[in-house]
Amino acid sequence: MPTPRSRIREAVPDAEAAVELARVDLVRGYRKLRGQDFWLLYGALSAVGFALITVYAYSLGHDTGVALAAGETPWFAAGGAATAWSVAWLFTVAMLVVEAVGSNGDLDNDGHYLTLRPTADITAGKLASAAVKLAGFMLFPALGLALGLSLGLGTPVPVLGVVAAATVTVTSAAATGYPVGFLLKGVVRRSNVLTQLKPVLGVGIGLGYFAVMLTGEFTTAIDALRPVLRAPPLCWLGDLSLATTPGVTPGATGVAGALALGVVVAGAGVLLAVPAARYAWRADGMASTESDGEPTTAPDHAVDRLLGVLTRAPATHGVASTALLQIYRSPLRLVFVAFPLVGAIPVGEQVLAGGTVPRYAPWLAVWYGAWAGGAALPLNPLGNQGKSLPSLLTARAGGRHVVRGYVAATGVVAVPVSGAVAGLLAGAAGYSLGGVLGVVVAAGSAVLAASVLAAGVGSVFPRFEGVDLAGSRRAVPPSKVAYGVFSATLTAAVVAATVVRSEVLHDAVTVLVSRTLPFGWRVSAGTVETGAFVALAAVAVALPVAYRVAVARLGGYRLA
Amino acid sequence: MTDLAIRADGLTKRYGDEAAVDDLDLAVPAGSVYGFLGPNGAGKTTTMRLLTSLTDPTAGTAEVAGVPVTDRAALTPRIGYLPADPPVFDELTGWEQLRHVARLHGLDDGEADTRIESLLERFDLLADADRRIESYSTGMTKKVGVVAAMLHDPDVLFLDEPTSGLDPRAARTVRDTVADLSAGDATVLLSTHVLPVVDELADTIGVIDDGVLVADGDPENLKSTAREGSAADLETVFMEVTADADAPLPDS
Repeated sequence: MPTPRSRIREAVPDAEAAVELARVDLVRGYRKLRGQDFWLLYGALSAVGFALITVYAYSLGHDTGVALAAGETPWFAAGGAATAWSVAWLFTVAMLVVEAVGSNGDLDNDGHYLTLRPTADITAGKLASAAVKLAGFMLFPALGLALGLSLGLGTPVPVLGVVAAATVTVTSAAATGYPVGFLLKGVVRRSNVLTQLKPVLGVGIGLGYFAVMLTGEFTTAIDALRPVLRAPPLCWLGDLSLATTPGVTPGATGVAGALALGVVVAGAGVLLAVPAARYAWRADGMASTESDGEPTTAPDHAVDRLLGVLTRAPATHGVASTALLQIYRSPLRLVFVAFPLVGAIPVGEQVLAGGTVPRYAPWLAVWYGAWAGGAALPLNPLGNQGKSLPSLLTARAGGRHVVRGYVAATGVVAVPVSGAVAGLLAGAAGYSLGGVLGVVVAAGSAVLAASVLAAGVGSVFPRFEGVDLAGSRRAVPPSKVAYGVFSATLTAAVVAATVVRSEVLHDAVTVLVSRTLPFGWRVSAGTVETGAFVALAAVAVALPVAYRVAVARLGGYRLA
Repeated sequence: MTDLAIRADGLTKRYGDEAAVDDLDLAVPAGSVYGFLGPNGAGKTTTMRLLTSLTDPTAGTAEVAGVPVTDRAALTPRIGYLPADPPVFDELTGWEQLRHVARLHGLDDGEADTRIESLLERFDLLADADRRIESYSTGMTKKVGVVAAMLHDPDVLFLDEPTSGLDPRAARTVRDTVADLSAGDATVLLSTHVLPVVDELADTIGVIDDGVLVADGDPENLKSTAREGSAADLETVFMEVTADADAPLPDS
């Protein structure tokens, strides 16, 4: 029977053990990240984003500081800080919920640590590690703000308030987000339906996030939440951040409340995270059965039947069907083709601001559909096989089956999606019916052509090193050379097609090329058009070459 | 003269100056089980890869089922290969994986499903065949790999550690299956560290060490040539032929 002492040990973390667990977790995470080029690239892109936020925070702080020094009351000091810190707190909580629900909230090595330390220690270790990681994101914008305020006011004292607010934000958000995340994890693990829907829900949340950002609804949501964000207790973070800023008189209640509540929330959150973690970790994992309790029968999927109609050879059918099942069941693989969507945010903003769809938007959709279709599957036909590569190479399936299989799998999904999106955008952009149909046909053709091109490029430049996605899931992205060659070729092809199809874009490209050329050189519209036709002809020749290269490479591939 | 299912003459694979397989001669009669032994890193897997056309030899020639190993298109319908790490997609169910392999071999779904069902039943995996492989134990995954290797009824099977990770019942099933296959026309090249399995099944044993075939022959003959004479077991033979020339034998 557990003694009172052992009950306390199970419920209250040992700080020393938690710090050691967090330290090892952070070191492991760092070493893992260091060896994974795609996550490094993702980190670099995120760093650019945070650098921009930091510059904005500095500018905001500096303007506020200068205004305060001049005896004015800038908007940031009159409530803007409360909104900003509240949004930061909510965002951090959301990130930590996701972190706990995801693989970072899992036990390592089949829960081996639980045989060494009480649950409380391991939970606190994970929470501390997550808080440190999130602090890294918070640190630079906060320092930018503090530096701006200090330079604007000519005194370093604002730094104290900002650092205090950042510390309270991170610790209290971690202590709030982690218990909620663990609770959700436990619920998902206990539900067969939610376990199976987890990938779909993950993609849905990801798409929702992008949609909110693309459509500018983020600002609308903040406006709607403003009364809550500027009300206690969230607004107290703003008071704390400006507590040491000369010229601002924050409410004493706010400052004291933020500090006191920060300590209380952090302590209570850690204690609540322990039973929540236990609830998550002790759940019996739901088996992913396709038929509950029914006699096992041969698998039967609609997409598999459709591919059976579209493909003749069983081997082509097998490659296509397996590729789509893998993507459906492990959609995180698509993260490698999601990066360019970030570039679509300015287009979305432009659409919202102007109320009209730009003429180039449908062609952007054609390009992205073809690029994503090619890069998602056919761009690494050998690496996609993972440890199953020997099975493929020692089977009767030849290179042509693999290429056709990947093209079929890509076409079934990407042709209708890309065609629909590009067609809708073309309609909204005011294209004529013929123009819309041209864009739809171009979108579908581009997907298929890009798939063949990608198979050719990817078979010459394969990549076999995997990248960790979530849990034990790994995916093998295409090689950087394959990405580069494929992207450049496809971009050239789509630009050439737009030049030939659209007079407006034709003129725009002519101006753009003339501006880019050195020594004041200029090109005529006719030269650009000729160049476009040459590029299209080159791509037309490249397609059968890519197909033959892919077939030969895949059929004759030898392991080292 | 007995037909040879596997023949290798001077088969060599070098990685730079390092010889993974050095001047290997093999002659495995059709319908037999060849036990392929050797310490870790001795060259067993490389030999299997050479004989299954997965990698090109640096020198020498080999034929499997009468087909040169350089002719992959003609070779693949005749061979089945189970690597030590079963070649499966974790996101697929067991049945989906096997159907995928069947399709790669050109089998139509109807024919494949009948055979898959029968083999899954034989390996006591039918009830779990609609679960994803990511939820399988090591042994269950290995069973899927074994079934996949024999799905298209090959003439020659290359099995790399087929019983590792299996429970005693499943290991027995694999041993019985290998025995059944060799009782028919199939030839099995069986690489394993479990010496009793080789002792039970193998008609011929080859021991490779540092890429060189250091012993090759009938198990009883090999035992009788060991220092301890006819009283020796396969483990003694293995220790003797793979021992460093200057190192004392463990029990000497």
